[in-house]
Amino acid sequence: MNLLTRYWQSLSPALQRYYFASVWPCVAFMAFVALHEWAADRQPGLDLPWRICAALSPLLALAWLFATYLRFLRDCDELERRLELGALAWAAGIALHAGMAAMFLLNAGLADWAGQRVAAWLCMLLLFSYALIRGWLHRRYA
Amino acid sequence: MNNHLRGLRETKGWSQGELAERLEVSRQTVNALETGKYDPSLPLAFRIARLFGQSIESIFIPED
Repeated sequence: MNLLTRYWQSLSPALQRYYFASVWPCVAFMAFVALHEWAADRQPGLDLPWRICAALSPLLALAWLFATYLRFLRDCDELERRLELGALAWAAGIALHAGMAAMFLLNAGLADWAGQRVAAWLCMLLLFSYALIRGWLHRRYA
Repeated sequence: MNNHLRGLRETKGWSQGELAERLEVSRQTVNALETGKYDPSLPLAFRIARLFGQSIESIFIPED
């Protein structure tokens, strides 16, 4: 508990505001994912427009979360912005290379992966590489 | 780039957190500035100089 309190106090006001602001978008994302799963199980009983809405509904919460992140990027100080942009650039580069590698391997017939799985792995790679590099940059300047 | 930021802050009796609040930056930024891990932008350097009532070149010293 003490460690958590100290961690929270070490955060900048902009980062604290971002963490507070991102709670509801995360809750909404989980609710929309549940709706997405529910609709996916009942596809024959739903009309096409409803199926499309339910399938894409998690994107609404993701856009909300992204908007709070952009607000944080605007509000944070110059060192924080430098760390964030550095982490984003590295993560985007890693995900881009992995995506291109997967595409070339699939195209050459050397791999047989489902598109859904490749997309999910790319999203996870983007998130994890961002988190790892953000943590490393944070330690470097701490 | 080296600087006299830590000395100036201690002369005023401020903690890193208090200086960060006055400069409207995070405590991590103040720490990175003091340890020379990060060089401030020109606007931040001006804010620091104004806060301590000194010129930029008397606070920040180029390494060469």
